[in-house]
Amino acid sequence: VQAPRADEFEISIFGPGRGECIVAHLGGGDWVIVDSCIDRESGRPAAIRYLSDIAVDIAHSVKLFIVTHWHDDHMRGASKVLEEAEAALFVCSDALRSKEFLTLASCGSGTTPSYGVKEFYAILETLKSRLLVREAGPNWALHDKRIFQRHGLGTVPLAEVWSLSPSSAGVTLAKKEIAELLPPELAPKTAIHQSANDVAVALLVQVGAMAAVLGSDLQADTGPNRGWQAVLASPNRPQVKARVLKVPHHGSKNADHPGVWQQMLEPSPFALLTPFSSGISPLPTETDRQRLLGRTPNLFCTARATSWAPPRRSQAVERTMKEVAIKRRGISGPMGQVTLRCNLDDPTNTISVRLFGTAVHLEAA
Amino acid sequence: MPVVSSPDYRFQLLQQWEGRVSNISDAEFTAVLRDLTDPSKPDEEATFSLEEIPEQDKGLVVTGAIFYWVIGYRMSASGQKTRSSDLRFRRLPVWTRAEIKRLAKRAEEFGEVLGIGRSASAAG
Repeated sequence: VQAPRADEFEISIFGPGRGECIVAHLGGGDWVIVDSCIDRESGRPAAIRYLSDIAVDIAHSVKLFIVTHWHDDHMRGASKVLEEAEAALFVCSDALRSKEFLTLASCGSGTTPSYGVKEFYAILETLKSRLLVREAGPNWALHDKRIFQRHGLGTVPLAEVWSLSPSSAGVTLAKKEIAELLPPELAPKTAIHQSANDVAVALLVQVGAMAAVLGSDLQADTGPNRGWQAVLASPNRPQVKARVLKVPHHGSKNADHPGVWQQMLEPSPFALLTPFSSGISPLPTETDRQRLLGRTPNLFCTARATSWAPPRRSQAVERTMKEVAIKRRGISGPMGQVTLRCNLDDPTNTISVRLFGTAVHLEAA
Repeated sequence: MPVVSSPDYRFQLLQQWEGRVSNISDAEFTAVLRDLTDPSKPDEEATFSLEEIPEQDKGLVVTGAIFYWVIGYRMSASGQKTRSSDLRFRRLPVWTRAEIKRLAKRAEEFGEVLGIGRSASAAG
């Protein structure tokens, strides 16, 4: 794969079955990374592997690194991404701007089994050391906030990145929930429970006439002042219709609001999806797939499957596992990647799609 | 293969995982298993009956709890070889007052650098 030209917009979504990462080229050699997951084959963060493969100068060309929320499946390798993206502005949810969250993240200095907490602790250490030598603190994402702007020059148009969430009510609630997660004295050191997706940062990426809504895991079922309902109700967000949607929360019904498709997207947008293969109900379900296909025929997913065969072991071990475990399944597979590109000079903004690894174009049965 | 010996038997370890409980229902629990024998193998998810857990350990089965699953051969002194499976929940260490103070102190340091102000004490 060749790196996109300066006058090309590109957006790639990566998914290894449980995890998600987005890498976008804003034109002009400027890149944005959203969330992080690990590429099993190389053991490296997917974004770092991809940008290295296409010879992008990660240290200087990545302008923004956004962690949309602190759930494990969006955080693996995030501290490594920040370390390598030396010039990037780090962005995270305003709901995490609290003394309570910093205390919770400090649990990551020990042996907690919570990846999200561990990664956030390492990120805080990197930010601390950067802040001691230069102004490189985080930007706290909140609804209707422009978090990045690059002026247009020649064939490279104006680029902006807006955070559409969390809402003020979402921040208030999330801060309260985070405070309740702090371990009391004598509590066992279990994994830290990760609460709902009120803190998630949904984004609008706009480059010239091209726009993409990146839905993170933001939910639609959380009341009128939070989640997608708050985004839709806001008069202050940019009133553009996007051609690309990163489908929120792995296609779950609880994150799908018809108003997003009607008010924020062009008809038949390119919808990008990653599965979530863990838990009682892996996502997307068949019902989710059919619902999304009813919204757009241009639905692409980093994998068709939501579970994989578990790794094989010796006969004696396999026999015992069958006797003891009621069921087993692999929860991560090979990496899938969907890449969309378009020429920013092209008035029709024709989008080309490339699929790598396990990625598929989902079509109606 | 590692072999553990005791006066009564020898144990030949075949496979070991660290599990983290992700979900519990009335009779079952589900966990993500990390392979400790071959760390290059990807995580997997398995569901177990709570009947597999010794009565005295059942209180330890909570979301986020850590356990070890060991499969191997037990070989008795008389030469009998039996395949065995052992699911054992870790009695997790607890947060001490000193540790909670350390968390608050570290958070305060981050807060000062990030301009978030003084840290709260952890609950409790």
